Amino acid sequence: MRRRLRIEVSAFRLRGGAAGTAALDCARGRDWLRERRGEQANARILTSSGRAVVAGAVVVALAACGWFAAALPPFGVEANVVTFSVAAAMLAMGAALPRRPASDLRGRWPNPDQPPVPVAARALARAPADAARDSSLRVWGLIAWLLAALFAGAVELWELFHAPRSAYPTLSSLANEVLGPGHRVARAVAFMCWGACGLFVARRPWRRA
Amino acid sequence: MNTVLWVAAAVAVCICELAGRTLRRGWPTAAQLLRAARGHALSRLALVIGWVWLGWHVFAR
Repeated sequence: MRRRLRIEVSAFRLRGGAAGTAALDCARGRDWLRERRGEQANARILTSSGRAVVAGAVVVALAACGWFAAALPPFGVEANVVTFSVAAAMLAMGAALPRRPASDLRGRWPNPDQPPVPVAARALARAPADAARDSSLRVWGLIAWLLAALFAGAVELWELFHAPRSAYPTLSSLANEVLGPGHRVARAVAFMCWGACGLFVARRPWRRA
Repeated sequence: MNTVLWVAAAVAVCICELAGRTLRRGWPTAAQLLRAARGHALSRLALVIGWVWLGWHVFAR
């Protein structure tokens, strides 16, 4: 709730406009925030407490499963059952989580009389030079990410097809030094993080206005 | 020697992420790439399969 309001205030502060209209706009911004607080406060409080209970239950369940799974020997049926059960539960929970409402706070400060301007429309209104620079940076960024991923994959393959493993460690053997069967706490924490990532992966992406 | 290769790969990934966070506009961060991947059904399916395989590989094998 606080974070949302802070974002709303930031969006209001970042809005451009003539200095002469600043006082009027500030008053309208305060009214707008009060309206939003009044309309949605109850629903948000209930939603946030419900979310906290669900999140706490998920964390406790993941911790219990992680602590249990960390003690299981590898290559066993029990380890497979626990891992795939947790994966299925996380995927189902992530798919059931609701999407964010179709509003975009990163758009222009919303005037109650006008619909908010989405980010895509604001990007179109930017100067062509800025848009070209952004597009160029995006292409170079994608190329850089692709090269970094290819390099990591090449290193993994190079190490995989060479021996001995102590001299040519793969990512799995490096991780095994930290997350191996002898390290129960680290293994349990990693299991929790892995389960939490499942929620993110399975959750439907946010919609934007 | 071969650990140096892993360090180089990690540095390359960190540089890409730092560039995305420093330049902000245009250059994608890892989170933006993941979010974009989640937006398409096939890439989302690939993400899910990769995530399940990772858990099986680390915790069950």
